[in-house]
Amino acid sequence: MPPLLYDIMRVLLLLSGPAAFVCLILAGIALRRDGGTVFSVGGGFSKHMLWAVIFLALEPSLTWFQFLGVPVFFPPGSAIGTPWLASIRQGVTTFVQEFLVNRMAPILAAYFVVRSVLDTASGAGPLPSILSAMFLLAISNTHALIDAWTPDGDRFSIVLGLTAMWNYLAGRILPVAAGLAICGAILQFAFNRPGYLRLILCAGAFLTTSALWMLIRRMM
Amino acid sequence: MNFLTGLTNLTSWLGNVIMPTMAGVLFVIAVLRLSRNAPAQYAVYAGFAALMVSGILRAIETFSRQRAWDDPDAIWITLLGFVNWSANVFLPLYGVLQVVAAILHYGGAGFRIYPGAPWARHVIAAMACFGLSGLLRMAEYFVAQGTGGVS
Repeated sequence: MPPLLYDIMRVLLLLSGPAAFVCLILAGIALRRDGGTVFSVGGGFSKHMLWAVIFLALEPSLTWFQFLGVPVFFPPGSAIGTPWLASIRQGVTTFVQEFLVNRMAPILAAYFVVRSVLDTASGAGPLPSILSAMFLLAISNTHALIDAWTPDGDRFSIVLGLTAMWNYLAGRILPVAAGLAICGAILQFAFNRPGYLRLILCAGAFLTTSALWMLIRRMM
Repeated sequence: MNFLTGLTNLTSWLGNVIMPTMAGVLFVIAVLRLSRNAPAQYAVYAGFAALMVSGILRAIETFSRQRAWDDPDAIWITLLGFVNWSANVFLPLYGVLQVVAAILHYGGAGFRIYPGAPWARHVIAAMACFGLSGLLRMAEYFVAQGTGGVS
């Protein structure tokens, strides 16, 4: 195979990481649009998160073609020999890292903090915008987490990543969210609004999500 | 920066800093409502609950950890724990309060002198206004004493 084609392949594979960053920024914006404290399965947030996982698991997923008998010619090594292709890759990576991740995402998060104040002024709660701001501020770490969840050399990398993400959500995020639900329940009760009992039940459900999943599976 | 760390700190800040502060506001609301002869009980309960966010969360965690995380019965056991606690811990304590209320009513506190009478209500409201900090400290003391559980 001509070295130029190998270099093009290397560039495309190496740009999957920055593409995942772009997906995570879009996911942060979509999270607020979906509701902030909730997200729709198949909605904007879940779609962008799925694409982030797909981009980070792109290389191992291509081995499906080898498994199906179609030869895949992975480029040997990761060094790009063609200078102008290397500069394109460097330029795009720098743009995503320096402009989007290090500068644009914190600014978007700051706008979401403003939005949280405006939400409160308009009668809605500030939490959805605050959570979206936190998500945007943490995308570097989220990127690293997803990267660690998608092992190299495993053609099931995408589903492994999604499974690890579900476990993280059910085992780490939701138990912490139970505390927020308790605070919300007390505030609802304090201001004589309906729904405090629902939030108490939600706190219990947040702490038992894995058991609920096992219960549903056992019922099938 | 990590989303989980941010969420944990937000929850801690809300539960351990903001809500106990809000408890003071809720007690103020209770006193003001009492002075206007409006229902004030819910604000007092909310004030106590605001001081007990961590305790309420730990209670629900305890209910939910009676079984392993992957045990399908954990949902039922959690609900059962809540029902047991309500029936066997909360109601007996509430019953003691009812006995105290019954004795007070029997002694005439319910009709000869009762908090709903305008002069008594205003006296109680004035006392609460002058001593709200003390009341809040007393509520905090009760909550702190309760961390060891009911004995």
